[in-house]
Formats: sequence, C-alpha cells, structure tokens
Amino acid sequence: MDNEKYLGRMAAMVSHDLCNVLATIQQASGLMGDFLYLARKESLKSMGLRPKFKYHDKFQEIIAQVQAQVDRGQGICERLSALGHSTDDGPETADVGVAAALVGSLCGRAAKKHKASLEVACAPEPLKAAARLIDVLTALDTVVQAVLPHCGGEPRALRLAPGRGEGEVFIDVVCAGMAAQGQEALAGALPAGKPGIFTIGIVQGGVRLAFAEAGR
Amino acid sequence: MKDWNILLVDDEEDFVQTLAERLELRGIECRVALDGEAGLAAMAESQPDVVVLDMFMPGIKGLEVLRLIRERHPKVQVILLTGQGATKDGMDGMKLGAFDYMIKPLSIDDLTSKIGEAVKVARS
Repeated sequence: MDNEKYLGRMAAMVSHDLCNVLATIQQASGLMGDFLYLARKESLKSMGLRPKFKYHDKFQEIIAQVQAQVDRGQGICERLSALGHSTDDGPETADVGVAAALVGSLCGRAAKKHKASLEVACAPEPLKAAARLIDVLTALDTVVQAVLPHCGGEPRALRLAPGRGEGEVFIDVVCAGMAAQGQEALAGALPAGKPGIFTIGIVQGGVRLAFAEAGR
Repeated sequence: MKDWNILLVDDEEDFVQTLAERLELRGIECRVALDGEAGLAAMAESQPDVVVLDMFMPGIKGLEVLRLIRERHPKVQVILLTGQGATKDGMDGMKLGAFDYMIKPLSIDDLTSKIGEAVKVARS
C-alpha cells in the first residue's frame, strides 16, 4: 500500500513538473511566432523594400509542430496526473467509464506493439463500481494485456465498452475480429478475478471485467 | 499600451518572463515576481489591478498568498494558475475569492481575455 501511494504521489509530481516544462516551451514557441508575425508586418510596412525573412513559412510550420507536441504532452500530463491521483485516499468507488477512458489512452502503445488500436465506447451514464480507481485500473490493464495477443481481424481493434448489468457495472474488452481459436486460447489464459472486488468472464469476442455496483 | 497594472507571480522564471514579454507585445505591461513574498512586496509598493498567481511555489503557498491578497487588497482580482489534476485547488481558490483559475499550459489569447475581464471587475 505504501509503495502504491509513493508511486502515485511521484506520478502526480512528475506530471506537475512536466506541465511547467510544457508551459514554458509553449510560451517560448509562441513568442517566436509573435516575432515572426511582427517581422512580416514590418516588411509589409516598408512596401517590400526591406526583404522578408526567407524561411518565414518553414519557421511557422516548425512553431505549429512544437505547439502540436505541447498539446500532445498536455494530454499525457493529464493522464499521468489522473493515474497518480488514483491512489489518493478518498471514496472507495470509481467510475468504470472514466477508468476505461484512462486505460484506453494509457495502453495505446501496448496495443501498437500488437499492431492493434484501442477504442473506448462512451459510457451512457456514470457507472460507479464499489472499488478504488487504482483497483479498477490495474484489473482492466491486466485484462487488456491478456486479450491483446488474441486480437485478430483487419484492422485489429480492441474495444473497451463500459456498461451496467444486474447489480454490477462492467467493462467489456472485445475484439470484433477474434477467431474461435483465439477465443479458446484466451479462455485458457484468462487471469483470475479478485474475490469481493471483481470477476472476469468470457463474452463473445473477449472478456467482461465486472465489479459490484456502488450503493447497491 | 493599455493602462492596466498587472503582476505575474510564478517561480518558473523562463515561463513567467516569456509570458510577460508576450503580454507586453499585446499592449499589456506587467511586473514579475518569482515567489509569494516578492509578489506581496511588489503589491505593497504599487497595487495592481490583477495578479496572475501560480498556486505551487516554494515558500508561501499560492492559496495562502491569495488569502493575504484578499485581506490586504480586496479590490485586486486574482487569476490562479494550476497544473493538470489540480482543479480541486483551483476550486478551493475560487472559494477563497479568486477571480478564476486557468490550467497550465495555457493559451495567451485566453489569458489576455481573462485578464481583461478581471481588470473590468477590479475597476468597477
């Protein structure tokens, strides 16, 4: 438990520091863009007598690339921060829709290794599990890692679909292109559930990870 | 140049100096302080309309600086800067009387218009 909290706190702090780095890069590249704009304005004011900066368009393109990477980094920061705060003391409930979205974005690289992509279906409503966010995240990550090698079809896509059943909330981790052979192999390699916290069962094309619904 | 009096308080020196330069290019003159103590001292010297205040700095924490500003300079409006995952701190700041909070990294256009709104309130 202490290790978990330590890692959570460190992840949240790293995310905060990263944010500051990104903010500085963003403003510095923005300032370059400002000066580029001013230089062009001055060149136009001199009726073209002052030559314009030869690499203006290339520089503008580079600044846009930097800004796009800052946006990308901001997304990573957000997810890292959410992951870090998942170990915070707090309510013993977690929204499985939020967890699916978080794992969907954190596991993108793992899916790529299997030449697959991850899709996350939007939860139609809040789906509160009687479990801590960190428990939902680790269970879902385990299931995703178990299903990925058996994912087939073209293109390969693994879908995380949160939903509600009788007294439970769940996330289906399914692959539309999974062959019968893959399904059999998956059934044999299925990780165990955790009594009192979650169950894992086979569904068509994948696995259902289910938690008791909070407040039931 | 606009006649707004803005104070930026952030311990990330490169960030805050660049931000000040960009705001100045947009006609907004700013003073810069690198921690809460320096910010409060700058305010005692000359009261700004708006303070853009980072919440996580060494020394006095942002929320404490905010509380002191509200106590000593009730007309001054404060825009808080927070990192990802710290929206709760931003909300706490709003409860303490901050004008608004923004998440880093932030767009200069959003900040400029937020400062404009805050100046209006500070001068009303």
